[in-house]
Amino acid sequence: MKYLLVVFIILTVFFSCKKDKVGFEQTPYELKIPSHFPDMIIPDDNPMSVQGVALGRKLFYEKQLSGDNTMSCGSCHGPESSFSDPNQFSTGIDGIQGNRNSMALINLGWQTSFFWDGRAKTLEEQILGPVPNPIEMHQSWKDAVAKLNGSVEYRNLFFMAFGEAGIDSIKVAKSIAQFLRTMISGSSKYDVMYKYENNLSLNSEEQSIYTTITPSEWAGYDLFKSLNGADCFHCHKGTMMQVNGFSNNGLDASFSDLGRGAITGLVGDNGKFKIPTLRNIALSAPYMHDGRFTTLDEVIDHYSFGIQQSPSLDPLIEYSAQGGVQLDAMEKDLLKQFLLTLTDYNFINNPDFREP
Amino acid sequence: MVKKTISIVVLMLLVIVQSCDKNSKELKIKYADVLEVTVQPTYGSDILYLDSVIVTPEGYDMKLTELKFFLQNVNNGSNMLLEDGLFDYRLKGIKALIGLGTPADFQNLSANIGVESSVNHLDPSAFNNNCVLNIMNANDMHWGWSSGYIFVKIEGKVDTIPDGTPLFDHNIAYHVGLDDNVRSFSVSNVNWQKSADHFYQLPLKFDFEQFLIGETESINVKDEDFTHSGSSELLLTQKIANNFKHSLTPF
Repeated sequence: MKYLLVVFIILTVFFSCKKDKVGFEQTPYELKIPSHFPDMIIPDDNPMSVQGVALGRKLFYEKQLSGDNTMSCGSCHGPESSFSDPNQFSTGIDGIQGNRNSMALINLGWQTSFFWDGRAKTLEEQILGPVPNPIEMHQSWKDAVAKLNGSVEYRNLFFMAFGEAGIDSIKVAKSIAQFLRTMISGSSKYDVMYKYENNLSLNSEEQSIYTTITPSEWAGYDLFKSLNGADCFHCHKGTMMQVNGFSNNGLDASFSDLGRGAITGLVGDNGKFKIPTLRNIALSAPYMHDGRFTTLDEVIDHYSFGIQQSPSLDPLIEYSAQGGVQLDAMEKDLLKQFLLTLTDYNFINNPDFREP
Repeated sequence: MVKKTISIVVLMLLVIVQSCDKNSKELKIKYADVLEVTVQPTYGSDILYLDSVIVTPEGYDMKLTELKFFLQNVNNGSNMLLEDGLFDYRLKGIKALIGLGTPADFQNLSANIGVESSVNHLDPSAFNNNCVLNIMNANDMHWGWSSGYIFVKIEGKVDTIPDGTPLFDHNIAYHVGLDDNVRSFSVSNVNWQKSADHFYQLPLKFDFEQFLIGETESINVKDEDFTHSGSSELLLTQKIANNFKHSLTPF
C-alpha cells in the first residue's frame, strides 16, 4: 500500500512537472492608432508585444542580415526619406541595382499586398524577400540566422520576444513585421483637414494646426478631389491616402516591366503597379515604381500632359486621350501645396522608429 | 486487502485521468440553414466574363473590367437575412452574400442596391472589421466619406473604331452613388435551391445586355461613357441605376 502511494506521488509530480517549461511572458504592445483610422488587423500567429517590437526595430537596422555586414533594411528605407531610398534604384551589397524604386514604409499594417507588383500577400512574407535576394542583401537565411545565433544578446532577445529558445527566419520576419506595424502616420496637416471636413472632433493641438491651413492648401485639396481638376481621388483618398489595388497610370505605351501582369499572368494587368500612399510624398522622391520622376512637379506634369495610351490604362484617368488633366500653372501650384500637407513630421521624427 | 488496493488504484487513476481531461462537455449545436445569394453576370444567354470581348447592341467590341455593387438590408419584412453585402466579380466571383435563416422565412426578398442615407455618410473607419462597409473592405467603393459609398461600379474598355484593330482605347466608368440613387430590389416566391444539408442558394443574374438595352432607355457606351454621379451627370446616373435594377433578376 505504501509503495502504491509513493508511486502515485511520483506520477503526480512527474505529470505536473512535465508540462512546465521555462518561459517568458511577453508584454502586449498597444498600438497608437489615430481616432479616424480603421482597426489594424493583427495576424493571429504574430501578436504584437513590446519585446517583439523592440527586437524587430533592432533587426530592421541590423547589418548582419546582409552577406557582407554592410546593409540593413534601414539602408534602403531611411527615415529622412519617409523610410524609402532617395536614389532611383537601391544598390545591393554586390553593387547591383534593381529596377524598381524602394517603397516608403508607412501604415503597412493596413496594406493587403506588398512590393510594387503585390507578389507578397503579408508583411511577414514580404520581409523574407530582401535578405536572400542576390541584388539586395544577398545572404541565405541559414547564414543570417547563424550570425544572429552567435550573439548572446540576440538569443536572449528572441527568447523574450517569442517565449522560447531558438532563432529562425520566421521569427526574424515576425518581429520586424511587429516593428513595421507600429510605424503609423496619421498626424499630418492633411489629417486635420480630413477630420475637419468630416465633422470629426479636433483636439487642441489639431485645432491649432487647423488655423494654419491656408486657403491655397484647401484649394489644392479641392482640385485633388475634383473630377474636372486633378482627379487624383480615385486612387488616393481617405485615411490611408490610397486604395488597396493596382493601376496602370499611363507612364508608358509599352512595358519593359510588366509589373502586376508578371505575377498574375493576365495581359490586362500588364503595366499595373501597386497604388502607393501619398502620405509624406514630399519626402519620398523619386517617384513611380521606377523612380523616373525626381520632383513633384514632374509627377504633376505627367498627370497633366504625359499620359500614354495602352490597353491596360486605368479607365479612371480623365482626359487620357488628351494626355491628362491639363492643369495650368496656378492649378499645379495649388495641387503641390496640398500635397505638402501630407507630410507628417511627428512620424518622420519619431525616435521610436530610429536605429536603437 | 486486494479489494481495497484495487479501489485505491482505480481512485488514483481517476484522479490522474480527471486532471488530464480537457473540457469534454457535450456540445449541443443548433444548426441554422445557410442561405447564399449568388449573382451570375451574363450577356444575354451567355456567361459574362471580365476581360472577355462582347459585342454591344451598337456593334462595338467591349471588355468589362470591373463589376461591383452593394446590396443592403436584404430582408423579408421583419426577417433580416443580411444588413450589408458587397458583390465584387473580380475578387469574389459570383458570391454576393451569405446569411443565416431558414428558406421558409425568406420566401420574398427585398434589398437596396446601394447604401441608404442613414448609413451612407457615417465614418467608414468606424464599422466593425467584418462589415463590408468598413473602409478596409469597401476600399475603392467609397468616395472619401462625406459623399459616401459608390453603390454600383461598372468599368470597361470599348473599341469604338471599327477598323479591325482591337484598340479598346475608349474607357467607360459608371460610378453610381449619392442618396437619391439608391434603388430597391425585390424577388417574390423565392426558389431557394438546396445545394447541401442546411445550405440553400438563390441564384440571381445580372444581364449586362439587358442593362445596355434598358427597360425604357438604352445606354450607348460610345457617347454615354462616364459618370461619377456629379450634378452634370444626373440623367446618365439615374439611367444606369434604373437599368441596373431591371437587369438583376432570378437566374
